[in-house]
Amino acid sequence: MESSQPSRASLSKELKELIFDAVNLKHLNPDEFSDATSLTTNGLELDSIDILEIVVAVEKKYQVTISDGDEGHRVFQTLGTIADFVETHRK
Amino acid sequence: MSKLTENSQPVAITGLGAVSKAGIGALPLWEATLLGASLASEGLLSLSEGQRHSLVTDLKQRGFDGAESLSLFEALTLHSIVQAMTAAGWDQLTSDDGLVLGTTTGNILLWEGDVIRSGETGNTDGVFANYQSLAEAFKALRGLLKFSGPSLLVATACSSSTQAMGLGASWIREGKVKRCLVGGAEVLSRLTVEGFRCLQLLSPVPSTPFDQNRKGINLSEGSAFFCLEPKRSSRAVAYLSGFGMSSDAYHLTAPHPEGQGCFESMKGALESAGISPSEVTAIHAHGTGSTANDLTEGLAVQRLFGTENAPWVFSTKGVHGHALGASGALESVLSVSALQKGLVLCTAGLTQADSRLSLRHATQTFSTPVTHVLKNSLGFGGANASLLLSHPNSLSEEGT
Amino acid sequence: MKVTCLAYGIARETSVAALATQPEFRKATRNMIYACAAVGELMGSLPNAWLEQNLSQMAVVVGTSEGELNTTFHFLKGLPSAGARPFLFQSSLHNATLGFVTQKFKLRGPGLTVSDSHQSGETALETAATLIRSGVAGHVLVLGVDGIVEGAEEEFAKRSMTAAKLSAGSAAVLLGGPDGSGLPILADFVGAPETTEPLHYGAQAVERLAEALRQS
Repeated sequence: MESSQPSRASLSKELKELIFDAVNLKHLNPDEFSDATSLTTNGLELDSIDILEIVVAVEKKYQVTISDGDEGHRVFQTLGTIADFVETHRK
Repeated sequence: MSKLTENSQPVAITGLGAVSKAGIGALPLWEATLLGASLASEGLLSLSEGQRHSLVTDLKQRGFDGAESLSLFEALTLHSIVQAMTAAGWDQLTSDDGLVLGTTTGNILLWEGDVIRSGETGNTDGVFANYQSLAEAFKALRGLLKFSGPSLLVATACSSSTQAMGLGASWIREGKVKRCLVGGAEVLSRLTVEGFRCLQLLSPVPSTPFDQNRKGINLSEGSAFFCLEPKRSSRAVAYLSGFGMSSDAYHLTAPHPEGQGCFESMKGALESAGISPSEVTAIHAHGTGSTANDLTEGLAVQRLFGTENAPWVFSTKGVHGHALGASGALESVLSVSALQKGLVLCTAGLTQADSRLSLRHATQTFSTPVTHVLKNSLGFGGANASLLLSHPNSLSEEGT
Repeated sequence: MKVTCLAYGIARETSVAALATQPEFRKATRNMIYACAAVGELMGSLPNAWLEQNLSQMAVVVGTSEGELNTTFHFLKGLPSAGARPFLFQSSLHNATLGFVTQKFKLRGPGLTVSDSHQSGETALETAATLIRSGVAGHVLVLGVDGIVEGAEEEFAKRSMTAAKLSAGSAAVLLGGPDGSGLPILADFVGAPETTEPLHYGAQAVERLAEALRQS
């Protein structure tokens, strides 16, 4: 577990950049958001189309597939849940 | 039976034509709809090679010598127009006539392949040779029809041809044109298939509008046109008697959750016809089979019509799919048939109605006098449009 | 029935640049930003009390030749590398500008988009007049907006086809009925200004009318 710590931190940072870029959040400072940040209410305040845009970007970059809507809902909750999913499923 | 008032100035539909996956003509579409089996294959409905070939050979027989060089969009449009004009007994168009066409993508098939290829190769040579401008497609069409009268292309997503029909009727009422050809055409393209897929709106299986377990939309292609005339005519197959439009002002792709916009457009159509909600026999719903659309539209219907003795609600997209900008016109062809034959249709694919709604769905198609059918369209960008189509006998005798 | 001109707005480069940095424009296309700049100026000239009463029923007719074709181009071009992008698709439709404007300004009346090459603006003005005369709408915001697809200008030049002189632009005019819908009448609308630009710029008739109203 110890050895996975740095890669997880860098994955989180990389994902945050990918997401901020994908949905064009230039007005926000990425450093103010952590793994616990919600994509929607009381977080990044994104809508369903933003989430779909992030799904496409994450699937493309990490060669992962979201199998269905239920899995999508589970994975695309917070920055951390996306990182968890990518960590487990990336190729 | 209710009588439309003089002030509502209904416009006569004296001819119509259609091309769909069901075949060339309004009759195959009607027959397929009565059978109720989906025409989709893996969730999509594109015309077969044979159907495209028939379109071209048929147009050649009708005197369009260069028909084999027409794009699919042009052939679809032209054929429906020729069918409608033949049915209405219009020999030719004059400069006193009007033409209003609804489409969202026009000749996109002439362009999109080059653009996608340029994305693969990085080479944009030739990408702009077949430039995809809706106006270019419209210009080509006017040329084919040798038509120089007032014309209008409406591109308001899935409400396009519904708006085109309403605007053509407005042109006749204000005296801008004596007669008007109105309708729409749409081809199935990579743009729309990939686009709807990335919004997770497509169903790989036959769509089941208003069903509890609906999975999404089946995209299709086709065209339909109508001949509109101002005078009451013994040749009138139906009347276009009301027209309403509204904007959701809510979201670019998601409909207003309570159906505010759809409510307003239906209300507008009834008010413009001077018809009360209780006089409507049936609502031919937009009913795409997407979770959001059917719920929104159902809620709007319930708000305007209540749930007691409300009009029947049906969607026919479970058979012929969603032809986007052409859908309003294509489905109006079926609405007119329902008026003529006195039939209320059931919704193909619907087995268990959405528990959040209390709509009056027919469990099977049945005979009854059909006086007024309200046809809805809900488009991306929050653009709603509704038409009221009425039986010829619903007109009062004065002023004929 | 007499149709009247009640207000106008022209997209200025300064307001376009200011809007482009706003968070709520993060998903907006070039046409959407230009359109909002023009409509914003028009709305700014109207009394608040009138807006409060009339804004929600305001009809909108957008006239555009190219529409959101630039976004369509990027959606299609990106398919092989980036896949199908929801942002680009939802803004790729011809009426996406209309959808954005109605949402931004909370306009819930009839809304439609018409297109006829360089005559799109004229067509939009005439269509708005039809809506007023036939009683479909009391007053109509007519919006001319256009921008050519990136790279098309050079391609047309290579083929000796004339392209638009302007790369992007927008103007808006508010039309109403004979009573002015409760606003001072700036001028009677007797018909759309004729347009002479040969190709692919559909905003010009509305721009010309807005400019004439500004100077009168």
